[in-house]
Amino acid sequence: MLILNPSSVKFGTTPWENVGSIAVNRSAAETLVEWTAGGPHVAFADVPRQRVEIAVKHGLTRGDMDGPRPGERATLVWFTAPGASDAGRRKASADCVVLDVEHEIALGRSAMRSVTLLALSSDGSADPIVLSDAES
Amino acid sequence: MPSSFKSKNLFGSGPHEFAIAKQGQVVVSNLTLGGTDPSSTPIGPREIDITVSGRLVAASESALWTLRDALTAELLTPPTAGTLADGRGRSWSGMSFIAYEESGSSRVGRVWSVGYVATFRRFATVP
Repeated sequence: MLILNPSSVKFGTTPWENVGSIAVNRSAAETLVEWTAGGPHVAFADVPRQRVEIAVKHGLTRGDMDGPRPGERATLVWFTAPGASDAGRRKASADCVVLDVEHEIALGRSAMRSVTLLALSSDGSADPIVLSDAES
Repeated sequence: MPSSFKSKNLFGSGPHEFAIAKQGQVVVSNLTLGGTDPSSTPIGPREIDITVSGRLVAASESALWTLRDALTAELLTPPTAGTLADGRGRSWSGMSFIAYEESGSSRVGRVWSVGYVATFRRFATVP
């Protein structure tokens, strides 16, 4: 899932301004791969351990002494819409723990903060990314 | 035809392989027989062990338990011999199911599954 220019983003009670993109990346933390005596090819594969990481990139227009810190936990909420209007607007949220916070600074351009978060499932089975109508 | 033990398809839910353990003479040191020289004595052919290692695969947790229970229900005391067939044209008669061990906890991804090793032995003397 990749969202460009989400209309609003909050981490806990803190709004994150000027967010350029939110990327939801899913990866296998453990894979099961099995072969049989029948031949050389994989006969079974499954992914019983997965990671859902969210990469948020947003611009900073001024210095910030109090950004997110690794280990901090809160709900990340963002809104998406297929077009510029509010039609079809949807809310996405995830209970997250901050992993990495990095900054890029280039002369003549605004500073960019990249935050990587690990999304948590409510019970280990439910998908960590919860999608709902924007009004809920 | 699927693999089987006593004509029961116990392993067919997932991938599995058969392996034959060490065969040949059981050899003991003469020192353990009371001798004083370093030589050894063959005392007879080793009992044949065959292991089936694989993964039980099911659509739900309860269905996986059904597969596990069906396997462990064949661990009898005393063991009774039956025919073990690998589903590829080879079978071994007189095999007793003597051990079942899971390789870690069950895993849940797209399906529920658990790895296992089941050991069968052809006893020289029927228990």
